[in-house]
Amino acid sequence: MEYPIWHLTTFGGGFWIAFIATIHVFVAQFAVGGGLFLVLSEQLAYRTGSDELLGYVKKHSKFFLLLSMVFGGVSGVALWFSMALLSPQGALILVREFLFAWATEWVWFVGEIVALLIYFYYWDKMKRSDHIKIGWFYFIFAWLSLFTINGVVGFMLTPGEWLETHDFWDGIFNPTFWPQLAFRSFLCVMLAGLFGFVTASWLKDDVVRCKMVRLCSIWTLLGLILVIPCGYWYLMALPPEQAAMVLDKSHRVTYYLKMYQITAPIILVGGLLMAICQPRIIKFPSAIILLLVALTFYGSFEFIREAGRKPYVLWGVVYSNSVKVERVPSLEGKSFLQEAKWVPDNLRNITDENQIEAGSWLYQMQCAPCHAINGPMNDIVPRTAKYSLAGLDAFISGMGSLSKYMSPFLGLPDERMALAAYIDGLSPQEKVALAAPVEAEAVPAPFIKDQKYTLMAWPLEGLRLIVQSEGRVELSESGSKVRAQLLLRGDPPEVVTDDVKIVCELKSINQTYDMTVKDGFFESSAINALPYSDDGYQPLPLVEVSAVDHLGEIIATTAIVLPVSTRVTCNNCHGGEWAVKGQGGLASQTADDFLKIHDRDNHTNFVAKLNSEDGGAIDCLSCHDGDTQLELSTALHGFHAVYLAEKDNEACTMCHPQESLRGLHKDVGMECVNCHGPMENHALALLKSEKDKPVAKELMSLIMPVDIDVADINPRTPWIQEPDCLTCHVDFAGPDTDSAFNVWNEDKAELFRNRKDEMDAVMCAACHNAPHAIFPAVDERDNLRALQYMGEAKPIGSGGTCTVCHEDDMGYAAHHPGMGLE
Amino acid sequence: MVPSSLIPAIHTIAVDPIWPISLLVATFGIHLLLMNIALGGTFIVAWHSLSGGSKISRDLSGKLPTILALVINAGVPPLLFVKAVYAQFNYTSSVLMAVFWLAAVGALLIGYYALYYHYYRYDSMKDGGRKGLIFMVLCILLYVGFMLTNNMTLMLRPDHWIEYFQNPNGLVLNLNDSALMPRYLHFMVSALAVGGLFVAILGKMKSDQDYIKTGSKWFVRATIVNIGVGLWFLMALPRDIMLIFMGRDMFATVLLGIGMVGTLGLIHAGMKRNVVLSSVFTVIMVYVMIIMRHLLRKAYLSPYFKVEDIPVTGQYSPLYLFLISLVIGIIGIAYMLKLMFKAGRS
Repeated sequence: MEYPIWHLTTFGGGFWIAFIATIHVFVAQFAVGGGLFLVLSEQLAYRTGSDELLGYVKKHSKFFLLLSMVFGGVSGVALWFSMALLSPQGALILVREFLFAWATEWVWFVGEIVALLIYFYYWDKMKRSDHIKIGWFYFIFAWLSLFTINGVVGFMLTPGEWLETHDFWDGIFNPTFWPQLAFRSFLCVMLAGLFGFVTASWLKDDVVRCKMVRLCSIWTLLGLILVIPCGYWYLMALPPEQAAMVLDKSHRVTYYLKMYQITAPIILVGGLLMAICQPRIIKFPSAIILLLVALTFYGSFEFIREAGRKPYVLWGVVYSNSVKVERVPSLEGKSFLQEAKWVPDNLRNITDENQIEAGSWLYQMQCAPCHAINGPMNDIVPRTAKYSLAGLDAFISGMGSLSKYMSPFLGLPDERMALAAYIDGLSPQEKVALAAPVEAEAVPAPFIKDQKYTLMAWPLEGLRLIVQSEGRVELSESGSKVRAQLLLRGDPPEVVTDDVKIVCELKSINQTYDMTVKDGFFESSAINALPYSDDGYQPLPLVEVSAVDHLGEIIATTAIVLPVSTRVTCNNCHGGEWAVKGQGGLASQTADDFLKIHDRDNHTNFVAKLNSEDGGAIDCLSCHDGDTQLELSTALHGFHAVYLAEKDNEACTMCHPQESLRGLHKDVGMECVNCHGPMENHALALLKSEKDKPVAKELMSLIMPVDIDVADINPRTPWIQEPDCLTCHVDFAGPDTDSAFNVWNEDKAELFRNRKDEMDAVMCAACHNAPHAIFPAVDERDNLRALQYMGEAKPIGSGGTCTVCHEDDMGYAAHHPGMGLE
Repeated sequence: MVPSSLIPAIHTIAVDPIWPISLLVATFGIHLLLMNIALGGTFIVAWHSLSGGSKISRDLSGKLPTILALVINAGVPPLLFVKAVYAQFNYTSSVLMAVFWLAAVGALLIGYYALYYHYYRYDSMKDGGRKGLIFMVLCILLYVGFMLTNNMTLMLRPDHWIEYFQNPNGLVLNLNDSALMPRYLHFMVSALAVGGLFVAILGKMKSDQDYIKTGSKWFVRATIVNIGVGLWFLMALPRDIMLIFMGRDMFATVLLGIGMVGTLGLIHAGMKRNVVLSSVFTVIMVYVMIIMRHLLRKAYLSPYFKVEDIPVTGQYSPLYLFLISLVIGIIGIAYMLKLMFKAGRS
């Protein structure tokens, strides 16, 4: 933010640094090992009196000069330039803090160049012993150069005590200095052998070529064998946080680790083959192929190493996006566009007109250092294609928390949205908004004034959310349930459970389900209702409930809805459209994304399991049972709260469908957060109930509570404990507050769905309907039963409607205080 | 937008900036002399190639790759010290012209290989190919020089940085700076003079009068032209800055005086074909010019920055490390050169 950003798209994402660095360091390390190879081979030639070998070394020295001095030297300058251009803040700190390390390295570089020039131009002009001395000078200078630069490169990854002391020597001799030096030194030996194959392949004399290829094989294999344990030593020397980043957190690493594991044996086998089987027939192409494999091997190592540095360019000092870590606290809650120096004046305040342009500048400042646009490095376009605009905004808000390999976004919410809008515009496809549920008229069942029975029926849940993709993943238990109470009208009315049968029929499929007697009420078996119809999406399908006497005659009937939704909008962030076009349902693409992310972050193998022959759908609840793993609700809310902070009710509607809340509370303007609290508090309450699990602790550390201390949040077990109606409706009176958060029932029996009136006879839901859809509900389909018995939508028995069950109007509120009688 | 609001924050430095500045001046002189030989030499080879080549051009072409290696090598420390002292200015200007700046390194690599190719295939190449190749190298070197001048002047002009907002793609150059062209030409014409001097030095070593004559001719003519270019450069400077050489700053004025008198000395020594004296004067003049260049930089930046503003942490041990390594390096190089000369003599 202090420096201008070189705006790049296709070749953004640090392409130039990665490209130049990989090739330069490859050649530069050859320049070290190759120097040793030259002088030792020359000595061998003198010792054995082999003119052929000497001739080869001379030829090789020309190749060496042209490659290491010309290409190595200039590409080194290019690397330096590219670092300064793409990461000026980091490069500056390296130059200032290690100025004399660079200067010292330059001294060795001069010595190296002078030695190499003399070595090359004075073949046969010098005494052999002098020439060998020059060769040794070259190698010593080259290795000293590696030694010095190794300190600075190591500092970038593991600054160690320097972070506290800012001492030059602490920075240079950092925790990975020695393992990295050993690793790179042996890599130099390996590269010397591999480059040797190339020049040896040019030799025409079979005998000499055979001898040289064998010699190069020894170098290659010796280098490789020593490199591998040093790589392990290197990894072990990383501070735990960074080792975790390499092994667990950084997603790209898996790919490069695989490359590393594939290429190492190829080099080993290639080296052995060349030594044992094919020294006579080695050809230039095979030597080059082996060299390219080695470049992949080494390049993978560099990428793995780099992963340990994420999200910094200098670990703990400067973020990849050139913002100094020490600056971040002072930027919190501030506008990045105002604070950054290199922003056009007309973009410092976001308007509708400049939103996308401001987003593009924010992209350049905060994303482009690591992400290309339609380019080879960490292309942002495919990575974000699955997100909706809101999903992108959510993801960006959580960067640096769970996505530890990314720098946190800096700026205000409108700036974050501008960035999201810009990135969203880069993806060609747009998500199609779903049509609202169909409006289909439903007629209440008849109610005859003198009918003997009143049948109360209601859905157990305010809305059943079906989150499953057939054959792939299941997040919800199957089936909705209907509950009912049959009342023999009279004074007093009587709850009837004997000698009657209650059945319910899902009208959309004309399927009938028996209901069994429970504790004073009936409950159906699981009904697999779906919200789809030929007319369109209908989350409130009709159910007709009937009471049948022992003679088989229907004695009472009522019509209700069985709320069910498949419109959970996981695809905001997980991609995919809908399983049922234009209606809803978790698309397989969305489900696959869950599994992919779960595999990646939790080391599961669901995708492989799914694709295996005996693989069935992944049942999330089989692990997320609150015992083995977090409760599913806890896990989902805890994980997603990290990305949905400071969004108030929008956090809920990011995933939950609009049909979730339909009752009176919606009508009076209340939202999810009134009862459940904001997403952060809601998640923290759930996590606290499982706070002994390490993952709960980790998630809790990433969530900032809203207007409350974490210590004051009461733990809550999902589905067992819920907000309590009586928190607001003290003694069943009108509410004094509109927040029910943080007061939970003790056990399942106290849930609204299981509670009965003060006479322990009539269930709360019998008169008020299901939670989230209490009478009078916004949608008339929810009110069918109220309309049936009272002709208007209101709690049954309220406002002088005692005769729904009673013979006469009652003078006192027997079920609970209030009831509109006072 | 106020230009000064764009200048990045200052970061600490380990030692008193006088150290890196002194090292900057010392090493830049070496780089400049070598660069002049490489560029001037390439120009002379190209010029001679127009008439089918000469012994001089053939001889010179064999030396150019090695000299270019040393130019690049000697260019590292001055750039390092400039970046260390004037970080917030130089990093900024580099980013502004990023495409041209990074391309300069790519071009240099091509030019470098082309010089080797030109030398190794001097005889086997056709005349046209040889001409084309050496002119390509010349263009590359001129391009690299032009980019260096752009960067080194753009870093002094925060008032020109605003162009970035119209062009953030790394394609900003300092072209609307009236001092850019004369400054660039002042360097380039010097290169012709020093290139000529190098030919004369080769002549002196070979006792070849033809070399000395040709070299001195280039040396004298280019120096005369450069007086004009130098005056143009002086006149093109912003008035306040120019005045430091006109009495406002006594040291700067004296240096300009020495420079002018010294130039006459150069021309005189060149005309007399006194190679040793010309060489000694040249080295002195290069350093006089470099110090003037430093004063010019200081004057340009004075509204925005003084080196004294940089907070010094005072850790001197890394400097000692450098000085010790420098001594070791010099001893090592001296020993290698001794072995080389011993071989040369035998």
